[in-house]
Amino acid sequence: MMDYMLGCSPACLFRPLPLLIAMAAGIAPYHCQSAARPSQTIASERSLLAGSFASEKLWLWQRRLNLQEWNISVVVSRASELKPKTLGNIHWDRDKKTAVIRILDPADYRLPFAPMLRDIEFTVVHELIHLEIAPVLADLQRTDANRVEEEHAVNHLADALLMLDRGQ
Amino acid sequence: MRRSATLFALLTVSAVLAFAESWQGRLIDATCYEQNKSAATCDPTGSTTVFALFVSNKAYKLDEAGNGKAVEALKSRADRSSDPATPASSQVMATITGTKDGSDVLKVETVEIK
Repeated sequence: MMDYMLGCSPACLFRPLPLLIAMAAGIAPYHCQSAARPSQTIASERSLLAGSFASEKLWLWQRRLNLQEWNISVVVSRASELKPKTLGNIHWDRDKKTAVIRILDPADYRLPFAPMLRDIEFTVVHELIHLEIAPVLADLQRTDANRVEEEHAVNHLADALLMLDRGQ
Repeated sequence: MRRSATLFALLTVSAVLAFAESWQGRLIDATCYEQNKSAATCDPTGSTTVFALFVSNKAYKLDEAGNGKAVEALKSRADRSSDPATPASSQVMATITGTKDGSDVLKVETVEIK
């Protein structure tokens, strides 16, 4: 069992999934969060955890956004594998209906554990919205200016959806 | 007859795979590069239709199929910027597989953009 669970109450030890979900939502009991000591978990475990968390969120949001006909996967990537100053990306193949979402590896995040998971979920939703609106923008001549506009719009939509989901 | 056809197909695929190479470099606007003789300001834009891959100070032009694949690859991606007010870098790193056609043209099989 992962180190982050060590030191929790027996209830936590026997219920890893709810704990993970609770941590992601930032509602885990204080004693569990403080005992989690995420900084002590090894990098590969954190990557695996981030990957499975993102896949679970992908499954959920893909259905909510009615993108079930797409075969989408999540890849945890180091910052060096992404464009500079980005937190993730999506590549898709319109004909094959396949897509790959890259999320930033926890090793390159500068956030505590729970906010990092929330940010990873934001990346998943953000990239799915890009995919959702891709047909609308397909024939648009892309410029830096309209990319910035698109990025703002996608962020606002992702923010709104996640705030609704989190009851904020 | 059927067995020979299968064997021929297998040999063809093997031959292609045996000769296919892979290059990693910066995808640039080939027309801009030809005009400026420098890759510095030649990142591809939404209107680029002719591309080159800049590897170790040498520009390899993509064949027609490769240009089409590069256009499609550029259109079929999006980043999540850490600062939404500034667009992600326009520099595009790519991995291209294919074969060399002459000294400076790549006959492209796949274009993968970072």
